Amino acid sequence: MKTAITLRVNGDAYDVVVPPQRTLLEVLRDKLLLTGSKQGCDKGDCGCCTVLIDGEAVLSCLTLAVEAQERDITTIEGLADGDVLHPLQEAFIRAWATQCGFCTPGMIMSGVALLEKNPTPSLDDVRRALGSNLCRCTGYVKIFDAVILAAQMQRERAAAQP
Amino acid sequence: MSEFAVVGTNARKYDGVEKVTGAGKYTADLNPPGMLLGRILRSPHPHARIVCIDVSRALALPGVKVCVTGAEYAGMKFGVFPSTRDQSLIAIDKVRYVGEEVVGVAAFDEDTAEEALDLIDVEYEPLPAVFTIDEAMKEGAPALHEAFPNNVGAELHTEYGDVEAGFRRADHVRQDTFTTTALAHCQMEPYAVLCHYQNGRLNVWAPNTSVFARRRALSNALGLELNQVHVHKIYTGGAFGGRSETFPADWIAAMLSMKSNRPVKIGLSREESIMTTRQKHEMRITVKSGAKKDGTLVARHFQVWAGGGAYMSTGPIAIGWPLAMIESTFRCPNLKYEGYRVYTNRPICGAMRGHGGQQLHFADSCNLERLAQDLGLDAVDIRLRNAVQAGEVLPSGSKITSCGLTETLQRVAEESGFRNKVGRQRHLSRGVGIGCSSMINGFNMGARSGSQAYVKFNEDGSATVFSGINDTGQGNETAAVQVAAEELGLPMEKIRLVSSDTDLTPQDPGSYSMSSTFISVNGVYQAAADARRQLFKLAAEHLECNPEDLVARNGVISVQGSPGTSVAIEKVIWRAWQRGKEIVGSGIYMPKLNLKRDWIAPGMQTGQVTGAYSFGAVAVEVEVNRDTGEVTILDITAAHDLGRALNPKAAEGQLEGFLAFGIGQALYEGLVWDGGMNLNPTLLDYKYPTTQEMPPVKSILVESIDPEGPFGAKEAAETIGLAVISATVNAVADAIGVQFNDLPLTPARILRALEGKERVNGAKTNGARKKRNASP
Repeated sequence: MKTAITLRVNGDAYDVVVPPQRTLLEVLRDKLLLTGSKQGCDKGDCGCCTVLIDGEAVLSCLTLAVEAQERDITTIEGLADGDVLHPLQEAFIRAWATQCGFCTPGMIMSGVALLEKNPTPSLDDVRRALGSNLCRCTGYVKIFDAVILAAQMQRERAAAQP
Repeated sequence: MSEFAVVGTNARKYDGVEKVTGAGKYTADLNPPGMLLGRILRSPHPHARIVCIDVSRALALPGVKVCVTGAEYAGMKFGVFPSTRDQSLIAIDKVRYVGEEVVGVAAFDEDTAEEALDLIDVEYEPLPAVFTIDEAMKEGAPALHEAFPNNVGAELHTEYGDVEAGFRRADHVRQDTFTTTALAHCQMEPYAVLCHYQNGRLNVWAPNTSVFARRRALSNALGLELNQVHVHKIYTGGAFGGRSETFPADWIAAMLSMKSNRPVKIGLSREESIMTTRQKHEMRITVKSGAKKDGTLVARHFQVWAGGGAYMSTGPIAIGWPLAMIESTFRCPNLKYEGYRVYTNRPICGAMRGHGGQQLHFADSCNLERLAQDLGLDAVDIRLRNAVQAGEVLPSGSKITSCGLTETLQRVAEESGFRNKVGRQRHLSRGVGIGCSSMINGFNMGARSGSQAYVKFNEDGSATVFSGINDTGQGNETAAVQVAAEELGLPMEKIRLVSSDTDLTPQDPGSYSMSSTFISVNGVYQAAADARRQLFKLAAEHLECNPEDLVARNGVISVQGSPGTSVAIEKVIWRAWQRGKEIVGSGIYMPKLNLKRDWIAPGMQTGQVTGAYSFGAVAVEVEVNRDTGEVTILDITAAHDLGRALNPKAAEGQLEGFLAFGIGQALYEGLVWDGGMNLNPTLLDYKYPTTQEMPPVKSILVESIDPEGPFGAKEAAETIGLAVISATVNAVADAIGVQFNDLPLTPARILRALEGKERVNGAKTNGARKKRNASP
């Protein structure tokens, strides 16, 4: 039995028909072709599929699509404003926090959720906030640098606003 | 002002924007029209004869389009070397490990393909199996492959100098035996492959470290000409050695596409990815070292047994590579090495971060550490005393060109405060350890040992570089673009790189064997230098000067010392084209190797094995919790000799990543088995470092400026992943007085050791717990 649902992703509304067991990750990737969110394990171990639902970092592989109806979903594709990158995206490039790039979307989404709540995180705050996002390339050090740098950039951008 | 405009800067990652926006495509992200989804039925037995396979019920399921079985395997078997082709890329008559591919199915959707697997009937006749090195080598053990009745698929016996005489001259001889377990790469991207057979050509997308190696193996297995196979550029979500070979999923997807005339994608689950691509060899290593009283090594004897799983994979390299590493770290004129690569009924083991070198380094370095202690020598001093130097010719005849080993050791010892701490913090259960290693930069792959590149220009003065260079995340592409920009005198934004595509780019060895900077970037450098010569010749005519007097920066060629006398590169190109003159740079870098040197062939381990060696040292400080057995790494200082830091931040990132890998191997990681069945093939159960385990890192980049490397550069940081393992083990020994011989140092193992129940230092521990209150 399939259900017709509306998903609000990155500000756009999508009408989709899905069986109830379909996860949000599967619908994002296979139906909406938003493949930025990655499938690394499909059981909540790796964090590559992290998206924001109403501002909270959520593992989309453990979330049913039907549960995400009528809520604001943000994926990595929804962060940049045209060509202007989100401070975390910019910081990930500057700090060399991305290597193979497969964990990067999930890492960035977890970082966004952290900075929304805590604009001045300590190194320990960052470690904890990214604790369920695995990376096999970087050893995390440059990722920590990037989140701290992004927090600083965000503050600077806010200060520069009239 | 720096000597260079681009080289040596922390330039932005070339593929950074695509990776941070989610726009970069990995294989699983591809969804061409008409695509079918494939799944694979796998063997539930570690060793069995296939009696019969019936796919009729599966084919009758609505939505299932095609199946493929071993009956259709008509091509050459897969093997890394022509002499090791032992694996049909789907089981034909026998299965040799749990997870081996038996049937491939393609359907309109993945659920249907999965359902179809349940409808396939396979009758097996189980056979006796062997799981460990000892079981496999036991007299009368069941053989996996008829050609190897004792299950030893490859062996190596080499001796340089006179080892017996060397040991007779030694003042002290020490022997230890070490073991390591099989490991999983756990690349973040699970393996996936997309094949589309169209108009007589096979198009392939799959995570890889060499499109050319993949093309060759698929052309062999499918009976297609090389130019009928097009392996496309695609992002690879981590490799670490585990994406180097051709996998059964590739052949199965290709066959399913050829039979259905549709694109077919197979995405492996995390468990399948861990179990059925590649793993790291488990090893047992015996090291015997003889030294003079002052610590000078006079003779060493290594015996290595590598449990390799069901097929040969890179087995000869796994046992042969460590020899090249051992002789190039600590000088020893008399060296004997014996290696055995053993088939077992477990998943296939191949390359992983340093190949067998990582395991051998652990044994090599820990043995040396204990030798030093026996002789009452300092851990740093014994390493410095034996450290190889630039210009040295090694026992095999291979020469070291540039070498910063001594500097990396000295700086790590100094900046970590090693000498002030060692042996002084046991009352706090804290300790420090040190390790160091060498690494080759590429090796003999015959005609594929070198890398070629082309440079073409566009009418706005920008350039496009074509190189086979492969980047699985390291930053190889950025390095290539930086080097091209520097040599051409263009800003990086004016350079576009087309890479890693069998139709579009020239030959390259691939991004394994630590060759990308030294060889592939060097190929780009040669092509850019060729283009630069052409530009300068034309610019010199225009400026009426000598080409030797010209420099290029920021898109402008000018006379050195008189920047007013200049011409834009854009203008040089316009003028050339108007006069019917072409400007195309082309080049190749071929390292100076002995192309007859072989990993295992008797008597063939002599001559130049690699074009350059890199070096590194690591100091680790740990604290051990005596109640829980947990080891916490407090601090790491790591120094790597990378020739020149083309991009310091990128190099640091490599170094930190290698540290995390090595820490995992030292403390946490290991595949756990029940016979042939793996018990921890998930990222939750297979534990590797998270953000919580990663300690603060002090990175030191040592620049020895290699005479052959592009702007003097060599590979970045592989030595660190080796050295950190022994440094960690030695630090734990310093903290609690227990020397471990088996990895990983899990809390259970540490507690057992503290209770005197663990095999350490060649024997059971004896009351190490008593030392708890001992004064330092």
